[in-house]
This record gives sequence, C-alpha cells and structure tokens, in this order.
Amino acid sequence: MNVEQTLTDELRHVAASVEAPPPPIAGLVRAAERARTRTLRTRLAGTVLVAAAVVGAIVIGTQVGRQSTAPPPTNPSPSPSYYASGVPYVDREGTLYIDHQPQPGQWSRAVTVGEYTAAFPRDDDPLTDTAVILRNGVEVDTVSDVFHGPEFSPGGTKMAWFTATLYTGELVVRDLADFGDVDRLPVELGSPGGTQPVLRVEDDGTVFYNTHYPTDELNWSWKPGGAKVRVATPPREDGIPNPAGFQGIRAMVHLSPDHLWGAWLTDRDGGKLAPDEGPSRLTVQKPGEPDSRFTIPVAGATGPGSVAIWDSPTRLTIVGDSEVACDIVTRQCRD
Amino acid sequence: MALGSSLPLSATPTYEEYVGARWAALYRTAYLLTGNHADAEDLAQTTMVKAYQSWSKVVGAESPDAYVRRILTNAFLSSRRPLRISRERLVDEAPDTPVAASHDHDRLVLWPHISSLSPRQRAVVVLRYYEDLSEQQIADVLGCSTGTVKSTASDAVRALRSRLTATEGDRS
Repeated sequence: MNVEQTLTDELRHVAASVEAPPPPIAGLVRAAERARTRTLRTRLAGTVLVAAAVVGAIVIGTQVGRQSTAPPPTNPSPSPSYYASGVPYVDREGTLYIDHQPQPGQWSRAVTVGEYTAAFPRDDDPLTDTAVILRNGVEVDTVSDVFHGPEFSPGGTKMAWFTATLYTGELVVRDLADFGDVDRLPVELGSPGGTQPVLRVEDDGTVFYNTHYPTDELNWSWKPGGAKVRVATPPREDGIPNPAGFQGIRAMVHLSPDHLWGAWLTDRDGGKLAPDEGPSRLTVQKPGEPDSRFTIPVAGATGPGSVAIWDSPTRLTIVGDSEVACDIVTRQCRD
Repeated sequence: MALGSSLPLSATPTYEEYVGARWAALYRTAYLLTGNHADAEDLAQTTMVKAYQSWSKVVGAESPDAYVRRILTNAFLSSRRPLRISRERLVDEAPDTPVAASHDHDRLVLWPHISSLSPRQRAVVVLRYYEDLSEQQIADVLGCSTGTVKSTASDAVRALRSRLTATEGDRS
C-alpha cells in the first residue's frame, strides 16, 4: 500500500463528507468587536453594533439547527468512580459533577488544582469564557471575560488570568483569601496568527508568562506592584506551562485524573528527550513534592514523539509507535 | 475542497465575503485537525475572530488564505493540547466522524489512526496531504525549518504505517 496516497485519498474523502454548519458571520463579528471594545477601553461606534445586529438578524436563522451536524457521542461518559471524590469534572454530555452529583447547566470543562477548580459554562462566545471558581466544590467566585486561564498558584493563595482580547489586554492577579484583585498589568498578547498566551502564578503573586508561542522572545515575570522583567527561560520547552507543582520540568507533565500525580517521559538518565529519541523512563511525582519522585523503566520501544496518557488514577499508557502500559503502584511498565 | 482551492474571491474581499466563501473549507480543515465537530467549530470560529481583528493585514497579504491558514494551524497547536490528547484517548478508536459510521468503514484504514498522532504531526499531515502544501509552505505556516517539516512528516507516516501493520496483524 502507498501510505501517502492512501492518506491523501482518505483525508479528502473525510473532508468531503463533513457537513459544515452555516457560517456564523454575525456571531464572529460581534465577538471580535466585543473584544476590540474591551481592548481599547473605548466605546464602539454604535453604527458598527447596529450593522452587526442587522447582519445577525439576517443570518441568525441559518444557525438554527447547527447542532444537528454534531454526531452523537461515540463512547460512554467516564465513570464517576474514575475521579477522586471532591474533584469536579465535566462529562461528555456537558454535565458538571461535584462530589459525583450532577449540577444544573451545560459546561465545557473543569480544571482543578488542589482545592480550587475553574469550571467553564458553555457559551456562544468563541473568544472568551466565564470561569466559575469552586473551592472544594463550593462556588466562591466568578471571573468573566477570560481570554486565558485562570491558573492557580501551587499553595492556593493566588490566581491569575488574561482578560479578553487578542493582541492587548490585562493580566490580572487575584487573592484567593478575599477575592480582591492584587494588581493588573496591561500586556501585549501576541501577533496576528500568534497564539494563546501561557501563564503560571506563584503563591506570592509573581506571574510568569509568554505571549508569543513558540518563540522565547517574550518571556516575562511580573510581581504585582512592580514592573515586568524579562526572563530567559520559557516556562517549558514548547512554551506551554506545566501544571502547578511542576515548575522547572521542561518536559510535558501529564496530571493523573485525580490530580494527585504528574508524569513525564525522559531519557535513560532522567533528562530531556532529544527530538528523535524515544522515552526510556517514566518519571512520576506528586505536585510540589520532589521527594515523592520516582522513575519506571519503559519496557518496549515506543519511539520519538511518544506521549503518556493516564487511563486511571494509577495507570498510564505510553503511546507512540507501540503502546506500553505502566502502573505507578507496582512501578512497572509492560508492552 | 481545501482552503486554498475553494471559491474564487474578489481582489479585496470584505470580511463577510471571505467568511461566506471560505467558511466551509476552513471548517473541513479544522475537522481534519481536531477530529470532531465541536472542536472543529471552536477552532474555525476562533480563527475567523482573529482574522477579523487583523482584517486589513489579512486582506492585504499576498495570500489571504495562507494568512488565515497560519492562524488556524497555530490556534490548533496552541489550544488545550493536553486536553485534546486525553480526550482522544478516551474515544479509544476512531474520532467521532460520521464518515466512518455511515460510509464504507473498511476504506478508511488510516483516518482512524490519525488521532494517535501528535498535534504537530497531524498538522503537518493535513497541510501536506490535504492542503497539498509544499514543505517550504508548511514551514512558513508552522514557523519552523523545512528539515523539521520533513522529519515530522516522516515520523507521522512511519507511525501510521506501523499502526496499520499492527491493525492488519490483529485482523489476520
């Protein structure tokens, strides 16, 4: 079989079979204008909004039934027992579970670090989100106009996020003791075609961020009340920050479903993998607890580009050219 | 129909004209990248919002399609990558494409395995084998060298071939 020709044929076949929904022109214009309004802190000329509303009135009917293009779920929702008690999660149907109890509304995702969870209700805004902040499953705050984040500090004392915009905006640090804003910093958020900013925040409120993925030209640290300072090292090799408790790890850290462990792939000596190198060891550690770190030899050759994926709170599969199953309880990997 | 070969446009299209002419093609490319409708819609919308924000640059570019394609690809590579990988893993086999479910499933021997590729590999595969871009064009989109494009494409094809061989072994 000619794999490359088959690939071309199948991609074209799949693409031709995909039924695209109607173009949501009015929604796109509104979202973009909203972001621009927030960015520039100016009042948008009413004529633009009126024009957008007129366009919206014309095309809104075309969006009815848009959901019908989405196929039904193809696999069952994760079992509630999959998650540790107290870790909120969102299933594939968009239901938020807290202590395994379904909550009202439709949700897109929930991200938990320690006691805190950012849960995101579904909305029609393609640019920004609203994040409901939970502490141990109880709602304590709401953050709107979130362009990226919020991220929580390892000790659960601060959170930080970027407000809505594309190229300029604000970086906000909020104290989780009184939910007051510690400080705000105007920031440039990237160039056209550029991408999401990255972000991490420490317990003293110091923020590290990078807004020009994947280059390392603009990495900054900023402590509220002070000026931003350039830093040489990006949060991680590819610019994406690792979860709280794994700062300094240059490989991609994967959190277990209950967020009790993080795992990453290394070479034989525990170091960074070369681009053409397959993993030799799986390193596992609890967030913020380097003393808990241990490594497991990876039996089998999964090859370059392998990723570690948690299948349960204690088991992972390393997926590459082949698959290797690892158990952090028995500390063994088998192909 | 890939983005670069879709409906003709005037020399300086308005945003609305561009979206109207290119939306379906953009959506299909987004679908190939993400493997499901929900993420494809998010990705296509995010791309076009970003395009609106810099519309004068888009429409003034030598190739507006190339500009938008770059926005699309970078948005895909940077957004929620770990979540996307884990979600795909939960799916276990093929992405939730209606194609595999409603058409001749046996013909699609590689598509079910594309979700196992890394996002960067998948982007290179889609740009090269669907969008029919040259290595230099892909390098421009991704902001990397042609050597990186070659090695990424080679790794992706090798991985797909390996998975295909494994699958055929299981069937026999």
